[in-house]
Amino acid sequence: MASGLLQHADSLAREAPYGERYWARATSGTSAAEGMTEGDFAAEFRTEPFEAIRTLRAFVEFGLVTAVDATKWLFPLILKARGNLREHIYETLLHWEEPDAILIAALAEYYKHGNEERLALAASLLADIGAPALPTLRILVRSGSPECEMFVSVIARLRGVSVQSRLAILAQVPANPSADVRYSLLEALRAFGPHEGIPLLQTLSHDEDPDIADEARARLESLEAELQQG
Amino acid sequence: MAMIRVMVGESDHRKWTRESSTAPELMKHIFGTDALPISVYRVNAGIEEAKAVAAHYLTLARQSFKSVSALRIELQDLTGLEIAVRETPGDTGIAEIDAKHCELMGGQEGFAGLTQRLLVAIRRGEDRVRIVGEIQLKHQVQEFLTLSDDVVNDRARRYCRKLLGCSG
Repeated sequence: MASGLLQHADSLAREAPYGERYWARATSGTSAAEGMTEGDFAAEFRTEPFEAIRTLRAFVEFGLVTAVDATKWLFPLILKARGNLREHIYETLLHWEEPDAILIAALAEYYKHGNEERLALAASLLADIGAPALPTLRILVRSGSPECEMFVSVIARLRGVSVQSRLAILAQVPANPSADVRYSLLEALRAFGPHEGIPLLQTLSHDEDPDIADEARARLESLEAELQQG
Repeated sequence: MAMIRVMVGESDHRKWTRESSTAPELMKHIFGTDALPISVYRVNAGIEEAKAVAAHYLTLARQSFKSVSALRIELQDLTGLEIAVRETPGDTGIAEIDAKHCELMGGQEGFAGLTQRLLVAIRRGEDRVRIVGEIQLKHQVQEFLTLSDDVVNDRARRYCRKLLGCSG
C-alpha cells in the first residue's frame, strides 16, 4: 500500500545519506514522507508489484518523482516480470513516454548483464512511442554503437515520421562499424517503396562484408527488374 | 526433440557462424550474465519450432514481424555443466506452447560452458540454428487467432492483433 511505502520512506529518510535520496521538484512543503528512493520502490515491488507501480505512478502524477527517474527504476524490472505484470510494466513505461530514459536504462542493463531481450523490449517501447522517440533514435544511430542493430527496423517503420526523415537517419547506418547493424539495414529497407530504398541499397552493395554486398546487389537487380516491368 | 532458445536479433544466426565471434560475447548477448532463468521450449524440429518461436515473439510486444532464429540445445549439451532444467509453465498465452516451456537455471560458468559447446557444434556443421522468417511468424500468429479462448488468452490475442495490424 502507498501508506506503507510512505512510512518506509520516512524511516529511510532518517537513515539514508542525503546524496542517495531523490527529491524531485521538492517544495518548501515537501516532507521526508513525500520523497521516494529507488530502494523504497524496489522493496515494495518485490512483495506487491502492482501496488508498487500504482504508487510510483501516483508519485509521478504529483511531481514527487520525475517520469525520467521512474522509468529508470521500472525498466530494469521488465525482463524478470511475466505475463500480466510484464504487460502492466510495459503500459506504464509507455504512459510516461520517456524515450531517452528507456534507452539509457536498456543500454545500461545490457552493458551490465547482457541478454538481447532487454534491447528488444526497449525497441518495442520506442516503436510504440512513435515520432517522439525520433531524437533518441537519431542520437543512437549517430553513436555508431553495435546496439543499433535492434533499433534499425524501428526507425524504418516509425509512426508519424516522414519517409525522408526516416531515410535521413538510416543513411548513417552504412557507416556503422558493426556488420550486424549494416545487415539489419538490408532487412529494414523492405519497409520502404522500391524507389526509396535504392540509394541505400547502392551504398550497401559496396559494403566490405561480402554477404551484405551480395545481398544488396541481388536486391537491387530484382528491384530494377521490377521497376522496368512496372 | 531439442530445447530451443529464441534469439530475437535479425542477424543472431550470423553471429554463430562468424569466425570472429567468441563464446563470452555470444553468451552475454543470448543468455546474459545475471543468472536469470532462461526460457526455452522443448519442441520437435519443424512446425512446432516455428510455433514456439512465434509464441515467444508475442512476449516481446513487437509491432512488426522480423526474421528471428532459435538455438537448438540438446540435453547432452548440458552434461557435466551446472545448469538445471526446470519445467515451468510459459507465459506466451498460447497454452500448447506454454506447456512445453522450461527454464535453464545456472550461473555464468555453466552458460559459458554451454555456449562454448554450442559454438563448437555449429562450427563442426551441426544443425543447431533454425531461422524463422517473417512469413512463417505471420502465419503462426494468424493461426493463434483462430484458436479458441481456452487455449489462447486475451493478452496473447492483443499481441497477435498488434502484430497483424502493423503488417497489413
